[in-house]
Amino acid sequence: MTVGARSRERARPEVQAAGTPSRRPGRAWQGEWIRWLVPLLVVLGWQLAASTGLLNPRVLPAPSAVITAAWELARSGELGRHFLISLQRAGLGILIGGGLGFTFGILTGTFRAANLLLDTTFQMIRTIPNLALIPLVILWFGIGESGKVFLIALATFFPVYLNTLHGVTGIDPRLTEMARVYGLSPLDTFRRVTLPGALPGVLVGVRYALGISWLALVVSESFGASSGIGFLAMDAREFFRTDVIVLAIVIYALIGKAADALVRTLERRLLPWQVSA
Amino acid sequence: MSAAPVLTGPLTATGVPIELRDLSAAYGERVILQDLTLSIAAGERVALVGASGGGKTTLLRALAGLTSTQGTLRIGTGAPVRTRVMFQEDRLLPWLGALDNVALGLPRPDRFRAARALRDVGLAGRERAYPHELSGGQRQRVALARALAHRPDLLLLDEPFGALDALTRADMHALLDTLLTDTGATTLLITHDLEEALKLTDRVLLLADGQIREDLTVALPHPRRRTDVEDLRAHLERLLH
Repeated sequence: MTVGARSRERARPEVQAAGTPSRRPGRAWQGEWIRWLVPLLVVLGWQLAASTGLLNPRVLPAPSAVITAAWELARSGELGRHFLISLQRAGLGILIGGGLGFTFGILTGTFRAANLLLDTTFQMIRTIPNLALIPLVILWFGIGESGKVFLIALATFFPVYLNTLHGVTGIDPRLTEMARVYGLSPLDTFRRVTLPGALPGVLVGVRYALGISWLALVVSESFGASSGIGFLAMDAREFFRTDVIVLAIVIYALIGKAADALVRTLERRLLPWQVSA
Repeated sequence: MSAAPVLTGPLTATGVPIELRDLSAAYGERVILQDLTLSIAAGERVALVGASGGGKTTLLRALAGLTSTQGTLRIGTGAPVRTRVMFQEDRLLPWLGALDNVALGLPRPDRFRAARALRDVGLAGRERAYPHELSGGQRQRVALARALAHRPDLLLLDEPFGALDALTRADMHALLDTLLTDTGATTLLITHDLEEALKLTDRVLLLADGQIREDLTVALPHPRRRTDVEDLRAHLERLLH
């Protein structure tokens, strides 16, 4: 039966993402290139200033010198080794911190008793700066891997925890009421309503966590480390190798950008229903 | 004597009788329903009209098991009752396509009814569309399909077309009238629109200050035109003002 199904009802045009100006068909490539224009101009200006002697290489080496240092370190296998160790530390820290943040965020968001019991404690721990914990972490874990992973896990726990908690509590209560009326069990309501409803928040948390994990990595590799990108930079400082120090900074920037792109891809895949996705 | 013909299509259901005796409800100090007594026969189509704050939504929520009340509230004859609500807002899950929204809560063997219900509301071909890709009227159609796919014994409609424009509303009236004729569910429609109440249902209850002030039977054949219910509407309007 299709009574009343008339053509006057048309699908609402998709709302454009806020802050994304409209593009003319066939000229989209210009928008993509323009993102890289400023970094490219900065590098060119930097190279020019270094080549003409305006910049002291002891203060800031030329981009070409940084590329040469990267090539030499890559050829010797040193860069790959340090990079992989840093990646491993960050990955493990995010996995533990993010996993616990997600689990506790769901628990405190779903169960009032868990919220009353845990949230105040978490909020108090959240305000402690990571750097203040270093002496205690060294005492607890020594200067091995555990302390470094602990610091990264602690730093990544909070963004995932807070955003998961807000994701769960921000779900429209009318939807959970609807689920109840339509006979969904509490487990089904969690699976079909709570979890997908909280997912945008969780992914915002993951994005913050990825960003902050590199910050925690720099902190953790600045004490008692004998490997990792942070160690590479600290070691280079001893020998006035500004080219390697800048290389480490560039690697951090590139990894940060790659992590952001990874989360954006995840968002596109997992949240196809979001108008602005 | 042979039994009366029974609609056996996938979306038909058996309505249930409703018995309310001295039903009261309050939010804190404020009394919403006061000693309400009412009988609704199985399969009856009833509208609840009245000014805002008169207790319409509270009564609907009480029937849906969403609000606690004092007094007697008996739905059905003892067997489990499938009660489904179509709310004023569509309440579709934004992360599910139209078909998955309709199939929500349906047992696996009954999922086929979701596609049938979507077709019945004129949305065949839009099964995969997300709610944000549909117009307001289309989203309410999906919500209606979701309610009907469950073959409810009791169908509760809480101002389901309140947010729609006049043209879409007229479309939905025609659609709902046909679908309600096909299904045997006991139906309770809450509306501010007296014409809507008189065109779609066979009994209109005027609720004021938590009590039924008027119980009007509409013994006219379906579908009804605006002119068919003009006199009854004027009568109800006089009572309302």
